[in-house]
Amino acid sequence: MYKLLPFRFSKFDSKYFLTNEIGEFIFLKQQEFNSLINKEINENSTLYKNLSSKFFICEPSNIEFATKLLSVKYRTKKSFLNNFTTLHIIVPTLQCNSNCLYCQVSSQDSTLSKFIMDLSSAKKVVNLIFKSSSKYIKIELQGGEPLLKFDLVQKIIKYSTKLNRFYHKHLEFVICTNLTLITERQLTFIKKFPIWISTSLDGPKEIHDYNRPLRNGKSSYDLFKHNLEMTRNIVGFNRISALLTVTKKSLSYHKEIINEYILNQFHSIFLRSLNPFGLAIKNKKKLGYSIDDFIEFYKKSLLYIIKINLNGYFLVEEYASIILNKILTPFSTSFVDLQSPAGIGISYALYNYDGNIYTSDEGRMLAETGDNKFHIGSISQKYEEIFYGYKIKSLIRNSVAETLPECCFCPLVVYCGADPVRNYVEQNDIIGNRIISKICKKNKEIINFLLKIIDDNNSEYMNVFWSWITHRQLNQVELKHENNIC
Amino acid sequence: MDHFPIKILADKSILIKIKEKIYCRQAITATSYKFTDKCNIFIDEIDENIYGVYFKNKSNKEASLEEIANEFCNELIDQQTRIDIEKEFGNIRDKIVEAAFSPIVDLK
Repeated sequence: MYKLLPFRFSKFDSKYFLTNEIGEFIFLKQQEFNSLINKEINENSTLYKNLSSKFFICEPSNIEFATKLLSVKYRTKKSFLNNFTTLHIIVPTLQCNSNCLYCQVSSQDSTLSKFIMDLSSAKKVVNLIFKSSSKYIKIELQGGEPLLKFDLVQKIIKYSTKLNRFYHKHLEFVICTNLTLITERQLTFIKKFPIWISTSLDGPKEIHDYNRPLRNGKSSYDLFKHNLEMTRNIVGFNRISALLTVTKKSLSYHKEIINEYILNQFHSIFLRSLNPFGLAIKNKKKLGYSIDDFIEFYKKSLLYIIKINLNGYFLVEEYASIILNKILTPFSTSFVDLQSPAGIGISYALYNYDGNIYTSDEGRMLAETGDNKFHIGSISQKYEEIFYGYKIKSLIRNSVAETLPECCFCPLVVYCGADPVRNYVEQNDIIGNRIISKICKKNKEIINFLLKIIDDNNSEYMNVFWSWITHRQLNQVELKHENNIC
Repeated sequence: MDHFPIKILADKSILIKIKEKIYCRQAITATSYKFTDKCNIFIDEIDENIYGVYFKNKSNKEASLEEIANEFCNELIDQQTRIDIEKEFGNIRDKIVEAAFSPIVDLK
């Protein structure tokens, strides 16, 4: 008689959905599920072979072998832990020429000089960053608007590059900019280094300008359009990507927003909900919506994006792509918001203009309100004190999703992650109650929506999913036959 | 309904009596956790080997407690099944994680 190997399950419409530690999954009819746990599955049946090949069951004599193999696969799933802190966010200035309604970083007027990092602090930050044991270092320059202090940005990039001649790490940079101030001179510099540009596009002019007004009253959309073309002409097409923030105004315009991305020849879009921080809280009436509203927006947008791909335009929805990677491949992803343990501190950290270090952007935002829960140190401290200190250890210990109430029995836990900062902001508790958690509801609904499509096994939809996962055009991954789940 | 151990009390709260022999405390707690957004729940030992789960409306939320209690009974089976099968493979899960991180010398 076979033995059960570790798995989690939940009801999924009229079926049962099962996952194991390595992310393998299977849908079972009620009767099949009952047979499974009652050890009544015929060993010559296809179901037995399926369950066995996916490591839900095994022969008692094979337990040792199965355990070893599962542990190797488990290590692959958790390989994001190998690198320790990889993403380092530096805030050279809080000054910004934009006045976005949902700004979560409390940006400041560009005339206020006190919100700027000095050169000596910037060098200390870079020195700390290179102490990370990770072979991969990504330095993200955020703001405010970092281009307002481009001289400092240049110095950080040049100093990091110089330091890396000694450390030999895989080093790259990201500049997060609204693009409205970018110049030819800056782009010529950017082109010489491994620098990626991350910008924001919230949709057509009316929505973009509404969400992201400039402080001088000019249209941010018009400048964005003009500078996008100039950027691509100088640094190349693939060095720039855009992010979307969904506000109340976006909800009725999913097609128009997605079409705007196509019009601007972007090949990826990230449908991001509003974060409950900073001005997004103050402007809740103007911008806010329920989590159900967002889920509805997400689902209809995703279906529209799939249709666009089927019509021949390659456009990846990044959030779905990350989750699909977790569901359909044995690999881990480097997306810090869906990690267990959470990515705070151990995958990314934020160095503020004033020399304080936080586990994340949101942690810095909380500090603005006087709450230092996610403050992990300052640049005057030693690396070990900051990153191996009690604060980080305590936060991480409480952010292993597999050990959290409700998550520990949830089959989606292998595709999801822990979000202690969000739990703390919403519920004043880093562990949080999953039953009332908005982020849990959002992730569950989106993952289940994707699983439903996978279970339906529509070959056209599955081809789109595989093209996203492998970053290849649809015609390069097309399978004409059925059963292309694995 | 006769076999359902659901009792409506004088103050309109509801009591479910649960035999420890059939459902363990962990299953009762895990099930109760799932209903904490719908009403207030209190778990007590009301007799030898009998747990009592009390359901009371939240001050700002009028819900059908009887409906919740019925759902609770189904969910209890679900949670107990999880715990029962976990007993079979729980130690294997530990071994997998331990072996996966075995190159790390000091796990503690």
